[in-house]
Amino acid sequence: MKKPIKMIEKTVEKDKEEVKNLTNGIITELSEYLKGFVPQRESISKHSIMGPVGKLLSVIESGRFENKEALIGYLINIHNNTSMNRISKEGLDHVKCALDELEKLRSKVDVRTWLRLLREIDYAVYKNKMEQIISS
Amino acid sequence: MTETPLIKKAIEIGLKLGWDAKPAKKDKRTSLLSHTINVMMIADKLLEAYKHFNIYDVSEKKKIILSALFIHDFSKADEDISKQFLEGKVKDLPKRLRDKGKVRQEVEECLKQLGLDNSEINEAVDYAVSMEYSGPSDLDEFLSSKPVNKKIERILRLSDKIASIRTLDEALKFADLVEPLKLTYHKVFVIRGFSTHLLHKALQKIFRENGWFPVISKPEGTLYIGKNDFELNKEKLLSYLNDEFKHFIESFSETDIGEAAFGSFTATPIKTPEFVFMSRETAESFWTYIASRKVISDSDVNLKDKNFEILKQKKPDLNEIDLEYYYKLYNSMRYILMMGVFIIKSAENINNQLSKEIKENLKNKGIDVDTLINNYPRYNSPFSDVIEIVDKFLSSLNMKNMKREDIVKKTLDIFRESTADAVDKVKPAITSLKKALESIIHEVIHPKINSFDWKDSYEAYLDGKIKGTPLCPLCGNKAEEVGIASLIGDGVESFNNFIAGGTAIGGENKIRVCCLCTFEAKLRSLVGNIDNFEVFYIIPQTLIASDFADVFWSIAAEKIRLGNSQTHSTPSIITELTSWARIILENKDEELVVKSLDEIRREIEESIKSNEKMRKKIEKTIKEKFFGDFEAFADELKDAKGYKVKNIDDVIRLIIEKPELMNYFDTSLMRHRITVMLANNYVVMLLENFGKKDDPETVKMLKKIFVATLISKMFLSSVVLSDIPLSLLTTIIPKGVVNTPVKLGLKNFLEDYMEDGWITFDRYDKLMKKLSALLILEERYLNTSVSRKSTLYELIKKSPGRILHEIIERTKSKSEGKISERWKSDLKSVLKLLKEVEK
Repeated sequence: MKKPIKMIEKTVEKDKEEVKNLTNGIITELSEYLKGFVPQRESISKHSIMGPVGKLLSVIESGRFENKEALIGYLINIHNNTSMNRISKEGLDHVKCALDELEKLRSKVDVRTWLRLLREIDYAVYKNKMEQIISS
Repeated sequence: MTETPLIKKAIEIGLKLGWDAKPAKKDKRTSLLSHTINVMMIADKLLEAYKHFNIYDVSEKKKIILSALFIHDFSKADEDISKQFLEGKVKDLPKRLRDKGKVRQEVEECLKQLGLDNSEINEAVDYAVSMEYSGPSDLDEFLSSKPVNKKIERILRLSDKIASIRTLDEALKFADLVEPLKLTYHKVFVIRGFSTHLLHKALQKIFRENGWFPVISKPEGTLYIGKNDFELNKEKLLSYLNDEFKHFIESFSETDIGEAAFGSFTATPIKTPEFVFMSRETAESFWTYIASRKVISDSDVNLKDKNFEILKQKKPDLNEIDLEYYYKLYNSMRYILMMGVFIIKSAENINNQLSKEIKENLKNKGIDVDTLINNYPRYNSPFSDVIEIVDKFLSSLNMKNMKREDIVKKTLDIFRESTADAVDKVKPAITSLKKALESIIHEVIHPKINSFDWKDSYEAYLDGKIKGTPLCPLCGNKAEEVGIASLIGDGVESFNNFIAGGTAIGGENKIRVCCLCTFEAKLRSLVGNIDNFEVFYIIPQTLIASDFADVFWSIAAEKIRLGNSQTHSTPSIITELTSWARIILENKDEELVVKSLDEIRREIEESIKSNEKMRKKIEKTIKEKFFGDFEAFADELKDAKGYKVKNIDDVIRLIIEKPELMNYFDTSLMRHRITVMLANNYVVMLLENFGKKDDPETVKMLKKIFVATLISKMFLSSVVLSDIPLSLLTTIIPKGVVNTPVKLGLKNFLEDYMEDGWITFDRYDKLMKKLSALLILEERYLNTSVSRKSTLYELIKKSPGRILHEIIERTKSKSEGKISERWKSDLKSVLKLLKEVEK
């Protein structure tokens, strides 16, 4: 006899509120870091506005690096090569916090949601930075 | 509505205090504002009734009484108290009204705005406190309070209780509070729309005649106060229903009726033959409508059409211009002849004598009726047959050498006159409509109609069980009639379990519906084609039993459709959605809501004063009922209602003061083109050509929800949206602001605002603001180079950052990559809108 198919509803996002809080935290940390990033060349393309954060998020999304230290090193390198100023200690702290929370977030959600949330974080950080530029 | 300025002011204050977004009761089905206004209106009615029956007259205290009712639930407006109250923890509501604290200060401020002086304020507070004692927990408060007039206290308590009932029968529990008067009600069990409206009107008329005052109306019925018991007579109800039906039909122009009778040349040409044969005028207007169709008056010529090729082969001698001429002639004539056959066949179904008479008239005018009917299957194709038939027809009437326009006109005239003369002579009884009217009275469940036999009904049910009865998919009644697509909607040819198996769907094998659903569809077809309309059922939260309501809603409908075209201060709700979106985001909507309600009331008064139609209608009534003798009419009015009038101006003045007299003269004359139908406190609003033509379903639904929330706020109502145009109004107890079927794509977006399928009072304002922001953003998108059909739907799916990015990408070319000041300010407004989206 064929084995009956058992259907189970997957409830990965048990705590929606927690995921929401984590996401908001990451957005805030990355936006705070970007406040200290002054690009060498002024442009309004998304690529330019997002600076090292854009690169960091795409590396996380692709899974090229998983190690936290490697990701921080990658970001510092891009920052120092593209910004008018070197990365500050506060800026680095923000990035570290963001990466910690990203790690927590990854463990809470499935792959599909993870990718969606990364895109959401990306655009939210972009919006915050644009808001800062427009209101300056 | 006699205290209109006070109620208007009360609505204004309530909106400012945000009472429209606060629940009045634990079940959250009514807003605090609606409940308060209801209680005030009910008290107004009760006071009027008590005065009328000479029980007692406290008119001089009316202002204080209504003001007391305005503040009676004031404490519930406070967020903390409201929360505790909803959890059942607060008991000392009366105390808060009297304590010299924050609540008392606010109460005094409101009462001052309502026009009360200091002593009146104290009195109003005492009344409000007296009606809130709920039991032993308030005993101390009760013993220390001032004694109030017990009669007034009873009215206050009764008003509050009546405003809180869920179903009409609950009101009968308050018999001891109403004594020596009594309460009763009428109730129906199905709410169909237009047809149920006629039933309600007939029932109300009977109750009024028997000395009962309507107190409140709900979609399913009306609650009355009065003295004399009476038995509802089936024959009388039927005759009044007939009158209502006649008035309803008369409120439409002949063209509307002619248009409603026509289906389509290719499917069912005459969808409602009853309307054609109703009177000489309707028969004539049907043919006038046929004459105006493009295929008859000036048919298009398609040179690639195979029929054109056939014509070329049949008449090789003709040049191109002549060919076009004959192509038009044959096309027009075949449809006229086809309609001629259909008129005879439809007449046969109504009355054999009528059909015979039409045939006789046609014969007398030289038409060979038998050939006309026998040729029927050949009118559609092949075209060579059509040419032959039309040629023979023209020769038989010696019209071969006439011009095309003259031939068409003459033929149409023959059919028009033959039909009209026959109708005039036979005056057929429209049995199918009579049957529908007879059936609909069985939908009254209270008071019981004596001749209705439950045994018959049960036996019919058993009979159906044995033989198998196809059920109407719309209402569950016995399905007896084949659904016509142009009446019921395109779905009649879809698969259904009641369709005969193993045969193709089409012809007679379509979904069958009951006679009442067909009747409802026929009534709605008078407004226009069912497929062009979006149906909104509006259930006013204010339980107006006002006689003004009929006129109120017809003017409100005009406003919804056109806005205020004279001052442009209020945009149209249908066509200017983004203008409304801006008003909402600027928080000016509350101001406009009050303005609209006030404007509507003023317009009603103006329209009555200057309405020539009203004057004519009064003259007509006097002519019909009193043979033009004004004095006889004045005597009757004095005897029946106790009013003295000297001339028609007096009558008009009286109607303004006592709007209930409108019923005496039939209020339907006040309507413009009916896009809205008010029934017993529900409104069927049909919005024609809503949204953009190519809007996808989800976008249309979002726009409908936006309009529904707006209507809900503007007119203090709940709105039920439906996907199926003829669906019954099943939700008679609203649980929120808007009830809508949720499209799958909108599920995630809407679930934050909904509970039990309803958008709730406490969340609808947020949704309205969010949709406003999205609508303005959509306009921005559409103004840019890229325009996509489902932009609004895409916007709700995207994060605000992504929307901003897309807007920047689309507008940056104009700024050549730099952030100019102008662009910056433009983007600032986008950010402001996005904030609303994020909330």
